Amino acid sequence: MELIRKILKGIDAVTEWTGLIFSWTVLLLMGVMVFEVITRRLFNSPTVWTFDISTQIYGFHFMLLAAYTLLHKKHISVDIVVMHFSSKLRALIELFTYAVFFFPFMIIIFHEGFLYARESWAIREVSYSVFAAPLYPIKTVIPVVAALLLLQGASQFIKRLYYVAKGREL
Amino acid sequence: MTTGMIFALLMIVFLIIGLMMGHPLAFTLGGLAVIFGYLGWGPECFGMFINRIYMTVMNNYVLVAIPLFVLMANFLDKSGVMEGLFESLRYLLGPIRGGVAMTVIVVATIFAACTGIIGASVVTIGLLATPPLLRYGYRKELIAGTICAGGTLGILLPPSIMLVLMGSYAGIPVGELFMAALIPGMLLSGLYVAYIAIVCWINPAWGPPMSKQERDALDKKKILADSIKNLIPPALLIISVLGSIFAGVATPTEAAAMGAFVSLFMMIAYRRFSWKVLKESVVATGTITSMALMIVVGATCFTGVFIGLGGDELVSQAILGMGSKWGAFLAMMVIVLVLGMFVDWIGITMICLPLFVPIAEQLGFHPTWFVMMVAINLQASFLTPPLGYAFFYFKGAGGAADQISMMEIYRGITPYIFIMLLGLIICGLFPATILWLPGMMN
Repeated sequence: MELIRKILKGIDAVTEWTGLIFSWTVLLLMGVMVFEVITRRLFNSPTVWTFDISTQIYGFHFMLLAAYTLLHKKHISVDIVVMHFSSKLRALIELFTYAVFFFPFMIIIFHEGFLYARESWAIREVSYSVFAAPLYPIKTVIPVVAALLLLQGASQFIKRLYYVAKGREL
Repeated sequence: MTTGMIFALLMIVFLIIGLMMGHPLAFTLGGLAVIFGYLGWGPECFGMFINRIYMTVMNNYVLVAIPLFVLMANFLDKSGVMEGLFESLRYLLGPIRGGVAMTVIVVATIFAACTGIIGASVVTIGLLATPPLLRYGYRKELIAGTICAGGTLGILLPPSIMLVLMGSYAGIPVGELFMAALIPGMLLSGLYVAYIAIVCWINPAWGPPMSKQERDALDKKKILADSIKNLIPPALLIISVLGSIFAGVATPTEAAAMGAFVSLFMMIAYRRFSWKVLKESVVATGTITSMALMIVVGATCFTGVFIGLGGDELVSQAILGMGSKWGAFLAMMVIVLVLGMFVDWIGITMICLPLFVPIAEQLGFHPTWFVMMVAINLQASFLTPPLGYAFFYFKGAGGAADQISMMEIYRGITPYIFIMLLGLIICGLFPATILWLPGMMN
């Protein structure tokens, strides 16, 4: 039990830190866009890289924060019905929905995302723009995020399972 | 009806069941896509998921505006500019019956024209306005309804992340939608003020004016000066962000970045800046953005399977089966309204728009007008029970809102839902309210 508790704590800590660190990339995104506006409007010298880079930062930002958002229960869900149930029944429903919706979706995204990224790495894929930005790093983000979500989801699942079995929080 | 169509129909049924079980919308949508994709199509459809996620969500320059508008909203929220505005404007309107409630609508409208999300505006205005409204003895139903309806304007009035998403998935320039939303948004805001004026005129006890002693104790010149002082920063922000988009100087994405940048400076100018506040804003931006866009990720898989199973044909047959052009239109509006009771606006936008816009075009409706009608209709989705997201934000903010019961909130928002529908009817009868401004731009 002690080992499991430690592992779950470790998972939560990884999620917490990835969230706290990578949420700052939104300031980088702002900076890149502001730089683009200033260089193009004021100095009339547009850059070729800001379009690709800003889109990639945006994709990286919202995807990588998905696990942190899950840890902090900020993904929109509806508790108006289940709030009337006992906490044990709620935990059981949560186990069921994780098994039916969450894990199948994330396993598919992880598997297909892995194949997608591997293909991109194999051909060293670049974007069609003049800048020809490499696309394989951003495509790799998909399986990485799926893995982070699977870990965080597993942590949540095991906590609920313990609650159903023992009647108290792990 | 084909087997695929039956599966497609079941997808919608199970979506509502799954949601009611309390699972996050994003993963419920994705899970249903996996289950029904596998049952109705076979595992070869799974490759499409990643393609859709990467091509239509991650690699989408238009959507880059979303985190930036959210960041801007968080900075503005923390800068305290709305507090100053509310404090000075409420003394200005206070002597009128219902005046403080009207102030809520005015401030909410200004806030809505600065930001594009609803969570922050309902929470901020709720925390700000509830205590003074209770102190003046305003009827609790009126307080709750006014704050929820006013805060919801944030998602309709430009800049709005809803319009960014709609523009991206309906293939309409976001700037055009921003223009189109301006008059309908102001119309709703005006109708809310008119409603407050009328009910407080009929029942003076609902919204008592400021007492004479309190009024006499005030320095009128100072209030006027404060109001103007507090109006200038948001006005500059609105003009620079919306003005640059409308003038075609900046794309909505660039304007969002500049808006966030200027809001950061406003936060510093208002002496609210600290590393702690910056960290809070950045983290809040991250979770709100990820929450919203992960629903888009789940929904793009969901609609991919739904359309693949023939669900689009099913929907179009059912809608065109209404016989007349306006019957079909009414059917689509009712579907949006009913779904709005359960599913949030992101899910509805992602599921309905790709299906409805081609039908509307086929029927001869102007796409911009049609999308805007859906946008106005979705205002109601924040207030319609059982799941009105606005009152969860209002209640969730805590503070003085705890003194208002859920039943009082429900009773308070009901008239506002009807006002929204009235606004929808006005914009339906007079399409110029929507199409005149974008027409000017072209």
